[in-house]
Order: sequence, then structure tokens, then C-alpha cells
Amino acid sequence: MVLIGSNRDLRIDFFRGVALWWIFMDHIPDNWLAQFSLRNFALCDATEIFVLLAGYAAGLAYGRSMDRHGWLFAGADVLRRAWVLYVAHIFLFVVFSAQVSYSATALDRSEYLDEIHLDVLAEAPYRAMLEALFLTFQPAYLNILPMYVALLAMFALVMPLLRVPLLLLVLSLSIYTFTRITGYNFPSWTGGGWYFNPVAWQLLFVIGSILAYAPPRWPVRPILLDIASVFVVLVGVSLLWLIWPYPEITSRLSAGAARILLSVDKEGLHPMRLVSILALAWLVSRSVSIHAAWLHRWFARPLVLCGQHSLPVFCAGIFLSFLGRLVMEERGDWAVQAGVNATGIAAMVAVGALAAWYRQKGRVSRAILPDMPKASNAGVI
Amino acid sequence: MSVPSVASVLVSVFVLCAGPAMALAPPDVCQAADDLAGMAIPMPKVGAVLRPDAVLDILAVGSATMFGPEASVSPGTITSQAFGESSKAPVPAKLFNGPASERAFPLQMAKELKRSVPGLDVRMTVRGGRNLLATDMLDLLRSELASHHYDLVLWQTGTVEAVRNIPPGEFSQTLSDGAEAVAAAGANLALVDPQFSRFLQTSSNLEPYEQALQQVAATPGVMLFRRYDLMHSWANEGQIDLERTPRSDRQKVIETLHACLGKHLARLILDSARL
Repeated sequence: MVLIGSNRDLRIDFFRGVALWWIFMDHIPDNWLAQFSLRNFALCDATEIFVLLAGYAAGLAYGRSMDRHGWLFAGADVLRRAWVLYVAHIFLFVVFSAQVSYSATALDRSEYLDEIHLDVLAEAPYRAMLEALFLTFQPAYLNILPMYVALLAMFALVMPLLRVPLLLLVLSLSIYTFTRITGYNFPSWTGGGWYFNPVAWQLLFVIGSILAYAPPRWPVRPILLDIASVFVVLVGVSLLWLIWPYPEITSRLSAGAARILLSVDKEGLHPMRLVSILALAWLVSRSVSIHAAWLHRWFARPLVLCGQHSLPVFCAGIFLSFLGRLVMEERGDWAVQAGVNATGIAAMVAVGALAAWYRQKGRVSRAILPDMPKASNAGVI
Repeated sequence: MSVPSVASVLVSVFVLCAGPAMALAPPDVCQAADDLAGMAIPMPKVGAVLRPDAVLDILAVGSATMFGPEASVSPGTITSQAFGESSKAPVPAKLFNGPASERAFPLQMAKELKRSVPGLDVRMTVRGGRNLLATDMLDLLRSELASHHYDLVLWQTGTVEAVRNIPPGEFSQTLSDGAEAVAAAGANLALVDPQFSRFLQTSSNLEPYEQALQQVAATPGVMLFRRYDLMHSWANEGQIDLERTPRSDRQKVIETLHACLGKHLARLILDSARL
């Protein structure tokens, strides 16, 4: 049985897989490997990759479906996907809350609850359950999926505009600018709004979907875009490595300019982060062809597999990263570090393989079944 | 609705004898670069009463760590309290309803101050509770300052804001309002920043909240005690590393941590008062 679907753009799966591995590694405090994840080299991280590629995949799959079956049909599918993500989020919420609160009790570490923002679950449990269902209570680690749910719900509404990409882009950009200026955000029960503001992040998702549905004609001389992208990446690196570690450098600048350089926020997708991910995406798409042979090689396969089943792999990664943290707090030497990372990644690949197996199994049984519904149609109410 | 009964903790510290035997932690454990804990700033209000036979009246406002080793590990000592109308917190905040531990760093600091200025009496009032937002602490500060005169206010805050992603601008505004209230009440203010933890370092964006604390600490009469940097250095050097301490030793290490924090804070206050 072939676990990896190959009639698709494997680059997307591959980089989604990479993002998932980074999310796992970045979530373990003091993880040696985490210093090699994207956030150490660029002004963006796995979250931006995840959202851009989610938009791209949505534009590709649901855009095609909309062309064939219309908006109502495709939009309903988008909402069903949002529902699946929502259910997965609630399940993960329960699992993760149980995991953290049990660990905090068993190991006598109440700060786990405080740090992860699960303290309110103990203080106001009835209300917290309700707010979790409304997505207005999001503990740490559990803030990416709610954003994804919101993004898909918005996408279901605006997807017909994919046919007028420029209009969609202008609309999306205006909403982004509005929220950047006013600070508008979805409400959070404990104050401060959603950790990832979907009203801002929708822009990246929309850009991804437009790139997939209506690929723009690239300039005659793409080298100019290459240079601009390299420049953007270099600006990001110098901010990360020079200006943020040594903020004194900005003392010669005006207070306003210094504030702009020093306050690149992730929550509201700061323009610098947006430009960084777009520049990186451009550079990757220029250097990795869709037909690149290495995407089929053995070393790429585990990542592609994870990327093709991102939802279960993501959920597993969150659970595993907290487990990894517990282990590394017991002993943090290099052998344990290596063991935690290797085991975690192996487990994520195993989850991906299991999900792939189930999907294949479903396809096979569906292929056998097509005559049956016809036969029993009369009996179906 | 129950009337918010205010949990006021008034602890007078009487240390009868001061001597080398009082040192709770071996000096090498607390060792840190001189400027790491923060910069001394002129504190005339403290300086005025820092003499034998005087009383230094201190108000400490903060979260669990202000109350000491016991408070931070056993939630059993907490009672739920309703806040006044002005509270913005949707979650019922929890005030501590017992005396702060003698081993908590504010009281360790008081002990050190008494040791350095023989004959000085230090009165320490500790107020606050687990996971309080700065806005709630501001209410506590105001009501406390209105009812009693203090020479020095310790205000520990920032972690809960970072975890809950409160807009840093709001936090900054709360801090400056508090600093104004303290100045108006004729006291000096020492801000205390969040504790270091590897988790907060990797998963929370503390930076804007630290910046807000630093900004407010740039106003006259306000000092910032850099607990985060101190603890970071201790963790890096392996001197005091709470997150890597086995359960059986945790209580002891937390006590050492508080003793060391108290020492450094006392030194900084003494230096400031003498400027």
C-alpha cells in the first residue's frame, strides 16, 4: 500500500511537514534542536508557513470544487473542514488540559498551569469549559487551531471573490490594515484578544489561496523579485541577530523608528513578518521545482507524510512536546535531548502513517462500494 | 453578594540579633554580576527613614511569589475573593488570605535591611494573590496607599499579562498610573519583573512587558529589580535552577532562591537610599 499521495504538489506537503516538526521542537523549552528552526533565521516561523500553505491548499482544493459544483457546494465543504478542525481542537483541549493538570499535580508544579494559562480552568471551571467551546479561552499551545477554524469560516464566505483576485486582495488588505491600525481582535475571555488575531492573519491565508487559484503572471525579469526577496530576508536576519540583541544600536534613531524596529509582533502578523514569509516563499518556489526529484527521495518522505496529514500530526506534536518538556526537565543532557527529539519525530511520522493508512483504506472500500448505494437507494430515507 | 473582605497582611519583622549566622544561603549560590540585579536610583523617601530607631514602612504588592515558598506550591492557602466594581478581570481573582512567609523574598529583604541598619524597624505589608493582573494590583495599591503611609512600595507584575496576551500598551498605562499614585503618596517604588523560566522564554513574548517595566523605571523615584535576569543567570550557571530541580529538593531550592533575591533586592534598596 502506498502511503504517500503523489498526484499533488509535494512541495506543499514537504514544507508543511517541516513546519510541523518545528512546531514540535519549538514548543519544548531549552531544546537544542529548536535553535535551528526558522524563527532563529527569519522574521517569521512555522506558524506563517502553516497559514500560507493552508491558504494555498484551500485555494487549490476548494477553488477547483467551486468551479465544478458552485459556491454553495464548495463553501459547505470548507465549513465542514472547519468543523472537523474545531472538533479536533476541542479534543486536543481536553487531552492537553488533562495532561498538563495531571503533571502539575503529580510533580507538584503549579507553575505549569499558570504558564500555560490553564490556571483559570481551576479557578472557574464551569465558565472555562463554556469559553473553550466559544474559542474565547485559548491556553498556550492551543491557539493555532482556533485561528485556522476562523480563517476557514471567513474563507467560505469570500471564496467566490477568488474569481476576481484583485478585489479579494484589496478587501483582505483593507481589513488587515484596519485591524493593524485599530488593534481590532476577536475577544478573549481573559482579556487581550486571541493570541493569533484571525482578522490580521486572514491576509496571509487569502494570499495563499489566490496564489493557488489564480496564479499571477510573474514578471518578465523575476531576478528583480529575487533581489528584493533576498533583501527582505537579510533585513529580517539583521533585526534578529543585530538589533534585537543590541537595542542600543537604535539609540541614534528617532523614537518612532526605534519602536517600529523593536516591536515586530507575531500576534497581529506584523507587516515585516508578512513580507518575510512571502519573500521566503518566493525564494523557495524559485529554487525548488514542483518536479524536484528529491521530494520523492527517502529523506523527504517522512516530512511529506506528516505534511499530508497535518491535523493529526499537529495534535500529536502538541501532546508530545509537553511530554518532551517533562522528560527534559528531569535530565537535559545531550543524550536525552537527542532521544526526546528522535522519539517525538518518530511518533509524529507514525501518526502520519496511520492516518495515511486509514485514508487509503477508506478509498479502497469506497472503490468497492459504488454499486451498493444504488441498490439500496430506495431504502434510504 | 459578599462584601469583598480585604485580606490585609501586616507583618512586623523583629529580628533580635543580626549576625553571620543569619545568612540563609551560602554567599556563592547568590553570586551574580553587580549590575545584573538592576541600577540603584536615588530614593529619598527611603533614605530619610533608613536610620536607627526609625520605622521603614513597606508595602509589597504582587502575585504568589511575594508570599513565599509555601504559597507558590500549595494552592490550599488561597481563598477566593470578589473584587470591587473596578476589576476588569473576568475570572474571579484570588487573594491570599494568610500571612506571607518569613522566607518570601520581600521579608528576606526586610531581614537584610535590618541587619545592615541596626536598630531600624521594618514593617512589611504584603498584598496580592495568585495570577493577579496589574490592573487589579493597582486597585489594591490605591486603597492601601489611601489608608496608610508607606515609604517604599514593591510591585511585582508582568507575567500574567504576558501569558494572557494583554496589550502591552494597557500594561504600560497601568504601571505609570501606579507609579503616579505611589509618588503622590510620598513613597518610592521598586518594580519587580517576572520570574525567569525556560517556558516563558520560549513560549511567551515577555519582551514588550519588560520594555514597559523599564520605561516606567526611567521615571524619577522608580527602580526596577531585574529578577528575570538574575534568575536567568543563576539557571545558566547552574547555581539555582528551579525547572531542573528534582521534586525532593524543590522546597529547599525555592527557599534559597528567595533568600538570594532578598539579599540582592536589599542591597539595591540600600544603595538607592544612600544615593
